[in-house]
Amino acid sequence: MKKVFIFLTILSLTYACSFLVAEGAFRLLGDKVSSDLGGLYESFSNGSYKLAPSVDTSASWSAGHFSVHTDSLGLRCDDSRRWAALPGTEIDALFLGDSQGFGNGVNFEDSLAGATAIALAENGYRVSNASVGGHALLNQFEIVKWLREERSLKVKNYIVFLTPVMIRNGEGFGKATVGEDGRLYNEPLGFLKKTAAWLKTHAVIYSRIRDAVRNCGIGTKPEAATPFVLQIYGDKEKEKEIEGSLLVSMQRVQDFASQYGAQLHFVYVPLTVEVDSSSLVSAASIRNISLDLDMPLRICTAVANQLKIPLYNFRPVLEQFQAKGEPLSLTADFHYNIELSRACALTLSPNLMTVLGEKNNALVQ
Amino acid sequence: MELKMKKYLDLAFCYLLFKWSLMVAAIFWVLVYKLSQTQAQLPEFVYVNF
Repeated sequence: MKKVFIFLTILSLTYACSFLVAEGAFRLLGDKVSSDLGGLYESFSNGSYKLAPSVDTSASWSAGHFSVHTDSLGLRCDDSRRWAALPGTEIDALFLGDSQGFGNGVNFEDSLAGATAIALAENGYRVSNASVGGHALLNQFEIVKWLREERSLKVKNYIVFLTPVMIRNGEGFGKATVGEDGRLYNEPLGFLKKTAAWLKTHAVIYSRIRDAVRNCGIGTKPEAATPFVLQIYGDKEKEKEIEGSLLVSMQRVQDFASQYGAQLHFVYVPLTVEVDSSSLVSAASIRNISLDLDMPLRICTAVANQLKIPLYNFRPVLEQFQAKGEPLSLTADFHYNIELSRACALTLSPNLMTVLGEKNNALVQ
Repeated sequence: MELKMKKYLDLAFCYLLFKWSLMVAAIFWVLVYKLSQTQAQLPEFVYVNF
């Protein structure tokens, strides 16, 4: 009995010390503690949420470390806030969207909206990004109204980054609980989750162990998320219903924009599985579901035609990447990687310049 | 004499245990390091975001 006690004590002490040594070693290798986007969010109207103003935070996800900064209006910008918008001013365009527009997993400069804003700024255009991860179109509409009516931000053009998820949730409204730490939660945290959250934000070994476990294929919960993606491309009988919902919501945004003399533009932002579809198709065939990978684009096009809104499509850029065998998304994350985001931004910015009108005063030299 | 011998055996036993524990811990962290370096091997299309 005494030997067992000694054995357990030595084992526990050695292990406890090894955690400290590993923490130091990984930090020496350059690992950074994740703030896990602490303080980024604040509650907004009707159970919704938005980005809090003047935040500097970061996170270390599977794809790596990235930082997030917001301006005084709670719009994502760069760390030096050169692309910050001020209340009462006028901007040429405001991007609306979900996590793809926000740029989940990458720095502002490497995101779709950020890279486009930088390219446009070189030609004198002032552009901001109101996209928030998890937002549906109507969540974004609430922010658009708030910015115009309560913060007097005058916008000449609204550019909506429409992903298949946003198209599917045409009349949806995302709700989440914002914790005291400014993070989003679906439910109140129990002791274990609180401990995990503490470890995540105080120790680099958390990310290392998590990545090791995930890379073994453990904890990825494919069965929990895949059906949702399959619904986006598989619910062909609901196409007209989804189109109708999106049309109603878009009409509201367009009416609001027209009221203030602003124009509305669509950008179709496909999921990478639309061109790199083998894994999705095999997941569907296992479930005996037939997919129509063109359905979200068809819905988007139909709504754009009915409302006479210009539509720009990123699908050809993704197809070019796919044809060259280049990766499309971040590691263990469906969001666009840096190279794809920049390529999309480079093709979008000249097209936007034609609709935004002439500018002479370049903001960036 | 017998007491001294017992103490020596206890110390030797503890040292042996420590060496084994250290080795197991080292193997654990090398595994964590190696596995966390590799590309994610996902079994199917998944949304992973945390």
